[in-house]
Parts: sequence; C-alpha cells; structure tokens
Amino acid sequence: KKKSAKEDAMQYKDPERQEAAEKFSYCEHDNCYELLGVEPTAGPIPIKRAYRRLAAEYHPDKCSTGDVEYCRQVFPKYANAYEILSSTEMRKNYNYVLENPFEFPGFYFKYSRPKYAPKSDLRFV
Amino acid sequence: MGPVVGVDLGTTYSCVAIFQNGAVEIIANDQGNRVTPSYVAFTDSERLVGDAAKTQAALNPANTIYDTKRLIGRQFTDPLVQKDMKLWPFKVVPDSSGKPLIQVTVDGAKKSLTPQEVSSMVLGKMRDTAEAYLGKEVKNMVVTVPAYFNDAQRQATKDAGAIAGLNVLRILNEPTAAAIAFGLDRSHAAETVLVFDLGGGTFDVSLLSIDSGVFEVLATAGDTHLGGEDLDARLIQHLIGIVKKKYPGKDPTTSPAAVQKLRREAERAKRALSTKTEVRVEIEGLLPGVDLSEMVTRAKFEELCADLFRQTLLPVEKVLEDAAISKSDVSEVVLVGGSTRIPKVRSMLKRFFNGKEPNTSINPDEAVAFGAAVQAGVLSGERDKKIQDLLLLDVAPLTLGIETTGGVMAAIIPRNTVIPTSKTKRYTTAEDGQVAVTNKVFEGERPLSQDNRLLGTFELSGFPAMPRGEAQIDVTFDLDANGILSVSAREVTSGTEAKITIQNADRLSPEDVERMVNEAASYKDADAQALGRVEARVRLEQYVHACRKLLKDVELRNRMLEEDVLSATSDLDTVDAWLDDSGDHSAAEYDERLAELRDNSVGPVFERYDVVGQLHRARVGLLRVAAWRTVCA
Repeated sequence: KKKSAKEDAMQYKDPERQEAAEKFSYCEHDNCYELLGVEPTAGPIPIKRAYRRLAAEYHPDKCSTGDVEYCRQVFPKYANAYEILSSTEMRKNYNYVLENPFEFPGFYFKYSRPKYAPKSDLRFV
Repeated sequence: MGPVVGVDLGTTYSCVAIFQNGAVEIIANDQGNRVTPSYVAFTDSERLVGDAAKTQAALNPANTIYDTKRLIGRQFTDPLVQKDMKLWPFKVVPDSSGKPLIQVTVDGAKKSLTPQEVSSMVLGKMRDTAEAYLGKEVKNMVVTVPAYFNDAQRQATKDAGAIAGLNVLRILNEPTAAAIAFGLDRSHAAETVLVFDLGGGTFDVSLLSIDSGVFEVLATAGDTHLGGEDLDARLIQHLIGIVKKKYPGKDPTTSPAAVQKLRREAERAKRALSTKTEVRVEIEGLLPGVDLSEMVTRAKFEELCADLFRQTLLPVEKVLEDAAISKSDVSEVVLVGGSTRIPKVRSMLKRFFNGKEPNTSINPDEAVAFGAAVQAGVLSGERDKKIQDLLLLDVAPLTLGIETTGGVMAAIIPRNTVIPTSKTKRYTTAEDGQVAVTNKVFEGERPLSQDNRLLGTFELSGFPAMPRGEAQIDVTFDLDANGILSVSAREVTSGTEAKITIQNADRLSPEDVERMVNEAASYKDADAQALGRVEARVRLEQYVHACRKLLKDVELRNRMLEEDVLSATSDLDTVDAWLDDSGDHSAAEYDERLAELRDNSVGPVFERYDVVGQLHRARVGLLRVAAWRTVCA
C-alpha cells in the first residue's frame, strides 16, 4: 500500500515524537523488552505479570538467590523497564527509537556522551 | 536478630506492634493504653515520656515537649516552624547552623535538645513497652514516616532511632503500612486502593494496586504539615477570640498554662464533635477571674476549618492524575488516622468519589503500626504463609535532581519512581585542567531549582587534570528502600574514584549521633535510678504495712507484751514520718531503713513471738498491691 508507506514516512519525521524520544536513555544498553522477557507486541497485562515475577525474585527485600548486592543492582533496571513499557506514551517513544535507529545515531552512544555540564563553581587546584 | 517491632511514630500519638505466631499484636504500654502520647517532659527529679508527660502538661508547660515531628528535619527559619512556635509553650531556638533546638530546664540548668533526641526518647519508650511485653531485648525496628517526608526528615527519623541505640531496619511510608493492614487478609482479586491518611500532624494520600500479596504504590502525595493539630489550633484561636471579647483586657496567650488548658479542651471538643452536633467547652479558672463556658457546634467547627478540609482533596486529585487512573477505577477509599473520624472529611470524600462510601474497616489509630509490624516480620525472616508472598513496591515521593545551567532543575530520579533505585549521570569538566566539579542536589517539583529544597552540595575532586570535556565522571544517585539518598562518583577515563563530599546542613554527623547516644544512655541510667528509688521505697512501705497489719491481729496482740507493742509502734511511726515529710531519698537510704527495721528494731520483736512466717505472708499479699501501685503510679 503506497498510502500507508507514505504515512509511515511522515510519521518517522514526526518532530514531536522524535524530540520526546530523544530525551531519555531508556534501558541504557539493554533492550527493555528483552530485560523483562516479553515480546515487543505484548499487551500491558503480560508486561505487568513479567515485572511482578521479576520483582518477587529480585527485589532486595526478597532476593531469592540470596545475593543481595546483585539484586540491588538489577532490580532498579527491571523497575525502570517496567516504568517505560507500562506508560503508553513512553512506550510509543521507545518503539519509535527501536524502529528508527538511523534517526538516533547517537542513541547507542548516547549514554557515553557527556550530557550535563557543570553549572559553575569551577575550581582550579 | 531478635524480635523486630513495628513503630508508628506519630505527631501526637505513637503505637508499637509485633508480628508473631502468624498474627499482629498491638502492644499496650504500662498504663494499659494501646497508643502512647508522643510527649516528653522534664520535671525537677526525672524525665517523663508518654502518658505521664501528657498528664502533667498543663502544670509544667515550658518543659513539656510535643509535636517534634513538626520540627524534625526542618530549618528554624521554615515559615511553618515559625508559625507553630507561636502556639508552643516550650521554647525553640536556632543553633549555629540554623536548625531548631528545643530548650528546657533540667535541674535548674538550661538544656538544648534536637528534635531527633526528643523523638529518640519516644522511640525508646516504645521499645521499653515492647520489651516489657516480650520479655526480650528489642534492638531492631521498622519505623513509619509520612510518605511525603523528604530526605532530611527521613534521615533525621533514622538518626532518632540510632540515638536510642536502635537499628532502624526500614523507614516505611505510613499509607503503605496502612494498606498492608487493609490488604493482608483480603482474598480479593487485584484492586486499586486509595489510602487517605489524615493524622495528628501530617496528611498523606497514596494510590496502590494490591494483587495477591504484592502492594505496588502507584503514586503518592500529601502535606507534611496538615492534621488534627491544625484543626485544634483553629478551635483554640476561636476560643481565644471569645475570651478576649467577653473579658476585655484578658489575653490567654500570655499564659502558657492557659494555652495548654485550651489545647486540651479543644482536642476533647473536636473529638466529641465527631459524634455529637454540639459540645460545651468549659474551663474554670482559665486565667485568674476568667471562666470559659462556650457552646461549639459542629457547623461552627466545620466553618473554622473549611479551607483545611478543602486542602485535603488536592493530593487526592494529584495522585489520580499522576497514576492516570480515573475516580471510578478506585475500588476502595481506605481511611486512616484519627482525623478521618470527622464527618465532614468523610462526606467530602464520598462526594468526591461520586457517592462511594469510604472504607472504615481498619482501626484508624493502629493500622499503621499493624502494617509496620507485618513488614518487620518480613524483614526479620519470619516464616509464615500469610506474609511469605508479601512484597512492597514503594515509590519516591519527591523528584530529585541537580541544578544545571541557568538554575534549571534537571530531574535525575522523578517522583513516583519505584525504590530502591539507582541512576547514573555523566558529568564532564567545562575548562581545561579543571580538577573539581561542584553540583547542587535539590528535591521538589518546581522547574527552577531555587524554588526547590536544597539537599546538599557535592564536590567532585581527586581526578587528574584533563582538557575540557574529556573527563567523564559518573555520578550515581542511590535512593534506598527507606527513601534516603546517597551519592557516589567515579571518573571513567582515568578509572579513579572521585572523592565526593556532601555538605548537608540537615544531617547529623556521625560524631553528633555518637554524642547523643551517650547522652541518651545517661538518661537511661537516670531512669533506672528513678525506678530503683521507687522500688526501694515500695519495699520499705510494704514492710511497714505488713508490720502494722500484724499488730492489729487480736490473737497476737493478746500474747504480746505491752512494751514490745509500744516500741514496735513507735519505730514504725518514726519511719512513716520520715517517709512522709522528706522528699526523694536514694534507693540505698530506703534499703538502709528497711534493714534497720527488719534486723534491729521491729523484726527481732516479731521473731520472739514466732510470727515471721505470718509477716512474710502479709508481705506477699502486699507485694501484689504494691506491684499494682507501681504500675499505676
């Protein structure tokens, strides 16, 4: 279908979506869907279930493996992935990034790109 | 680890509970009350905590401290502190770094206490209550705070535990704790619950999803300075106005004792108005020549507090908006906190939720301690099928961020992020050869950092000089399960740990905590001494009693020589006179007198008539009476 392809092309150039998508680092180096172990097409309920299962296993209060240090590191990642995928708006933006990697050349390097410049109070010692 | 108790450390009342044998037990204090006033008082001879302190508040207003939860983790210049101070009979002064100190007079000397120390005394009292009930030492606690408490207030509460020599395993949010109390025994399918927690001094609203043991907080909002105390204050102001009108020239605010009496009666009237439509407030001798007798109607009370009641709906709207949930999706509106007994609050909520009746199935005064005890059970590794699936997913109440160019706040941990969480941001240098970076951490929801609260300033240093933009400094913001922030940093290219210093005016240094721990221990000694004194006195009194009882025994009197009766009576009279007219003696003095009676004067007399066994029996009977009296003292 020619029309839909054109529509798609327009959607890809959606500046608002692009701007919103650019603001976040999402799941950093990971893929949010893979992190939670769900299909990219999964609906909200399987996503919630996957997160609950992981939380019951890796929340530092639970930590069934007993390695609390590890749980402390991974649990925030799961919680963050769930936060992105459970919000319709954020999930749309994230999908946009995944579908249009060429529009976000910096995305995979983004995290290693300095973002916050120090405000002032420069000190020379 | 020993028993872990759950403590609801409230603005006006505190409550302690424990989870054991699959059930939660709310522990009554030595007065038999399930809640203990959060009051601390200093008299000439001792320190009082709880009911005893509140009872004597009107007699000793300047040395009776309460409401410390409204001071903890705040600055002296905080407008709310300044406003509250006007109604407090005790004195609050700023310390060198602008934190409030409470000034009392102990043994004629001025003494300054931090709000943390006062709270630690209340926590210590709750621990003693639990220890008396369990018969075991209690070292670990779960303490609750309002969900909307900020980082400094949480840290200060944790410090209060440390000063009392306690390990605070978790700072738990009050509405979350209440939700556990509500949801623990419910076998419903997944439901969305709104907890409306209007307590003595603070107000919280949390929206949770409860699903087979998982309590997930979706959003939280509130006001850390709105509660029953504010309603009381309105009523007090109203009564003061009436007194001023009726007795021109008289002003109750000039007398701390009068304000204290008004406070007591206002609280009582407010409570009565939850069940009655009108109540008479009567205080005889409020001031010399001033008797107050005034009818207050429920309508008048509602009018006085109308704006405060309206304020409570704003956080409700905010959590619904934050969680993107409509009113009709909320399956239960759970009421917690004593102030939710007020009919107006209930009717307003009912109207807001389109006629949905608020749920009053849990005890509004005890639910928070109940939930804290359940979480304490989970953290202590208690094995019980009721709690094995329980999992709390709580959130950060306030956005944490740093100041960037132009004074703009850059959010690092947005509000309602699940805790514990950890976010890393990369910083670089802006000048060639720069070896230090300073940044400010803020919390709050406003876009400009100047409108938010400064948590602290951290300085990164200790990395090698590099051209500008080359240094890559990873700063990690860790928000732990207590909602307390810690910051660490690392320079990536050189691999060095950057040194990080946080200057935070609101936190006690470890040295401060240690000093206060030592002082608290000295209070404990003083308390033990006071108790030893009372016990020794009781021992002596009951010995005298037992002797007198024997002397009244007709059979023995007939056998006894008149001179023995006279000498025994006079010895007992001497001791009684000594007990009556003198103030407090040391435990050793009481014991000395007792030994004197038993071994030299009265004791040997009775021995001659072979009635020591009877004396013993009489003493045991009296011992029960005495033990009961000590409890009621």
